[in-house]
Amino acid sequence: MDTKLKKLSRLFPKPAKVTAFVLACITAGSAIFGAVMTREREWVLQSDDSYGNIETSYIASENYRRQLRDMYEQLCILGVCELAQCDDDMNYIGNKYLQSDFMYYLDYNRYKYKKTDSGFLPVSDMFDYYVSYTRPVGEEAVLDETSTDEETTYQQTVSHTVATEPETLYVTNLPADTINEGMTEKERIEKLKNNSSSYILRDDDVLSSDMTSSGTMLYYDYPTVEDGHLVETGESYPNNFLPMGGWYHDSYGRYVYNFGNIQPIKFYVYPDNSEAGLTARREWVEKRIRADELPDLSNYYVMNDNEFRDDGDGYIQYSGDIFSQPDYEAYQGDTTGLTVFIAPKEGVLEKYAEEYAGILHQYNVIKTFTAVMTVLAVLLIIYLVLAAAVSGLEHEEIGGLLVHIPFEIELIVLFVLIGYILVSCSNSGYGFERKLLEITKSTLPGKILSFIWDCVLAAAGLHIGTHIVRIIFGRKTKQSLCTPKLAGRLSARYRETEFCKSRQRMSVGQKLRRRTKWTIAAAALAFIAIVMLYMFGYSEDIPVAMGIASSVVFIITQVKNIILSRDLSKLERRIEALRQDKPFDEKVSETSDIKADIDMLDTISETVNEAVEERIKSERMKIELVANVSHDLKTPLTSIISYIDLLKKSELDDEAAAYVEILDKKSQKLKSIVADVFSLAKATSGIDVNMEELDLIMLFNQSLADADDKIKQSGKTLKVTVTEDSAPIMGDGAKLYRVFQNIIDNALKYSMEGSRIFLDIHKVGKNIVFTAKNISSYPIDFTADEITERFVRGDKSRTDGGSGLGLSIAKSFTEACGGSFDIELDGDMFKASVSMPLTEKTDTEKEII
Amino acid sequence: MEQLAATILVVDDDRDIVAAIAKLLELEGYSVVKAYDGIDALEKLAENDIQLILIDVMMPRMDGLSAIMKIRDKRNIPIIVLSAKSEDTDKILGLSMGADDYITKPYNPMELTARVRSSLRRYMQLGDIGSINKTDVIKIGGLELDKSAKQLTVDGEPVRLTATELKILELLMENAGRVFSAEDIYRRVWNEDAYAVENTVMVHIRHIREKIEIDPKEPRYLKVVWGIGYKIEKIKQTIS
Repeated sequence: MDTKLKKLSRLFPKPAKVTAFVLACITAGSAIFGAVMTREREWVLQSDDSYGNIETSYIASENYRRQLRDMYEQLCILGVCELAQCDDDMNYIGNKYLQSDFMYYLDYNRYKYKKTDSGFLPVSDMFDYYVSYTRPVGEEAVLDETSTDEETTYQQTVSHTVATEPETLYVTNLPADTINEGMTEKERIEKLKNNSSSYILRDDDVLSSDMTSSGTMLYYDYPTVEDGHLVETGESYPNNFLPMGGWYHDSYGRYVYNFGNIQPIKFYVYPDNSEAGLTARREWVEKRIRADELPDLSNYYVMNDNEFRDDGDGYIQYSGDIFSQPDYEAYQGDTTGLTVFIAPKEGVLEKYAEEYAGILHQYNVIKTFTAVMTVLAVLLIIYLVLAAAVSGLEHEEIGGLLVHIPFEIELIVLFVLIGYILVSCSNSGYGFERKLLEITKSTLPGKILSFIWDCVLAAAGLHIGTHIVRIIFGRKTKQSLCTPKLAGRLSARYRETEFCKSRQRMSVGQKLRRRTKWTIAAAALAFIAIVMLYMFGYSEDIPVAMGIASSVVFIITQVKNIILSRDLSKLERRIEALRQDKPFDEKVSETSDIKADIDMLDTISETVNEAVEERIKSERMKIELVANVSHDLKTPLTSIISYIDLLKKSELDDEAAAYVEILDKKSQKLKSIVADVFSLAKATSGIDVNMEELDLIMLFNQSLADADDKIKQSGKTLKVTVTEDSAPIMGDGAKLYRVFQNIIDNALKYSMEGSRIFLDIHKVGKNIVFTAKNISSYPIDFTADEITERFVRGDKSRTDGGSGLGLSIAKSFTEACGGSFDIELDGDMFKASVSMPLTEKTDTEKEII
Repeated sequence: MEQLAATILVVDDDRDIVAAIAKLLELEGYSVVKAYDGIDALEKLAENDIQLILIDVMMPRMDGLSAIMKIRDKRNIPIIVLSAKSEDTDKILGLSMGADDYITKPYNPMELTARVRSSLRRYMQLGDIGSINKTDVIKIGGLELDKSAKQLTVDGEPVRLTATELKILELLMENAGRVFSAEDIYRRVWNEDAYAVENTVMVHIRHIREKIEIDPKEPRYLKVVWGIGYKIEKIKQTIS
């Protein structure tokens, strides 16, 4: 395999490859350039050379036809618009606005003409021309048989005397000796015919020519009258009469002049100052325009397509198909008076034919050249592609300029390039070369530039193409838009940018606000687009573009919002995880909107965890300290108690016995203080709490029963109110027992002699609340806060067995079990309350019951 | 109350405490051997005929728990731990190491002597325990309930109980380890519907405790499970 490959690769040495590449670029560039040049000439020629005769071929060419058509149109306009409305002395007496519109039309088509008193004279290097208009003899000759008196009034704006002899007015660029006034029309035409071999003649609405000019060279779309309506038809000479330059009149009092050598142009002319015309106009406009907008129509005279127009450049636009109006009727005017003769000037045809032959020759040469270049280029390209394939197989890595460009983009660029080259070479006329040639008017620098451009195109295509071949044949992994590596790198690079960082720093709220603004803007844009479309009648392009833009913005913002909402639920779960101190292992993308927030929560979580650990550690240390201290206290205390006991058992005199008794009491008290301090320290630290589900009511009853003896001894009355049957809670039974015990002890100890103690358990919302109320036997001179402080007792002077920690312990234990402990003082009324949250299970259970 | 003659080994690094306990026990009629650390204790144990050991946990050279483990390798005599450590975990540790009882410092001298007496009695009557193997006798630790004779003995010493107390105890002992709520107990013992019976049951429980426990405030057998109910602790026969 390897040796084969080596053999193969020997076929493609580097110098050969480089040479082949350069040659391929040049040949391919030449082929493209040649194709463009060929197309350019083809466009000029627009014909094949099947005639054999160069002159005949030229006459058949599109180039010649266009020139001929342009000439013909000018002459038709000259005939029917000028000559038909001139008096016998060749003075234009027709509608001047119509004339100016015609001039405008000529300018628009870049026709060359000379202005004269009567109107204009077409200028042509190529053609000799003659155009005449013979006014009909008498009114009968003008009138259509079906026309009425009313129509007759509009028919001609030119007021001329009815001649008994046909009056012929003519214009020509021929020398005066060729034709003269003395000849009759027929004689002049015969003379002109004899002078030229390639003429076109329109006479009596019949188009004739010499043999070589036949065919479809003059083709028009034109309206014709059918059943009193103008109908657009397409006919070509000689099948039908050629109405170019013809006119019609309709029941709206208009004249319609028909021109346009490819797309027909119609001029509508209202007879000036004619009462009937004005009435007709008004009627028409009133149908179309609201009464309050109706202008003074006396000055409006010309209607070109869909417009009225006055001399102050005022336009009244109306729309609607006038032809479909029920009262519309059209009548064909007479064009038999028009005579048009066109013939190439002497020697012109030969000259142009020669040029044409030159172009044709070039065309053939270029065509051959292009074909050869194409073949060469294809061979070279095949060689290069094979070389690339071998190189791809051979090399581990594929370097080059294109390494960092994703494969997909390379492919797209290649296809775009190929597509562009094909379009350039095609007949469509697009492409940079065409533009270059057009701008530089096909001069040498333009051609060189164009050629270089083509070579560059070829080089780019070849380079990318061979690169792709190397990758495909080598089966090399290449950065692609789909590979995460590149995407990751792109996004990493994006994330490094200041723009992205500033975006990341924004809070979710800010981002959402921004996005909402965009959404509103998009909606507004869409609204404006709708308004533009429906209320102001804009053309569709702009509103549609706006609509698309707004949709794009809308979709982007909404998709982002969907992603954000998904991320927000992640954030919620993160917060929940933080609350429950659980690990959070869901991934959040780097570019997510909530990344910063998640990071912040992570930091908080870490800090909290650290703080909690720190606290637990310090609490442990505290407990250890307390444990050690209490141990150190307990050991000597053990001795003290032991020896006091021994003392008690020995024979003592009364005084000593009394002292021993005191010692005994105090040592017992010391013992209880040490025990309480230790348990308080433990409870405050929150460790050593065994939570289990229990019934607070039962616990209360047990505590009460447990304290039965004490209560009886105290001689005080307890009023117990329990409204609930059971109160399931989570708590540490032993600790809560201590809470009840301490509160009841406290109440028994410090309540007034003979007073009642109220113990009460009731449900408040989702909590079960225990309260103990009693009237203090001593004036309350402390605050609620003070009493739960350690070692504080209501009566500071009193010395009993208590450690003074009872309520502190009650408070600590309640809190350790997740409840709350409160003291309220109102005068001498002392109220302690314990509130524990009920477990939720009971609620549903109760509901079921 | 008959007094058993016995030699007790008292081990504590605090000589004053040892002296005090020795005096206390001698007053009760026991003979006492003193030791001041674990190794000392092991030596004294080998030298003397010892029936019971009172031992502290925290001591130099060898601590109490290690000493207990060493003793338990050879001897079966009752061991009572005497420690300033009052945590439940400490107690459990001590008992699982092989101690029979656990007294926290500062101890009540009365309680100390009571526990010593109780442990000794059980130890001395070891032979008898084996022989009483009737089916209607329930034994839990030092508690022994003869159902047919309606007789309860604590560490071999008969205790007088009322009929109700006996029924409650029987219920709890038969289901040792199980927690009964006041209602349960009332329904089963009184055979009546239970309503607001917490107090009634609790009073009986307290009375029972006063009779069977050395320290009713820190009961070994009959325990209140606060907010849930009552139970007799399931105690393995430690002396076997």
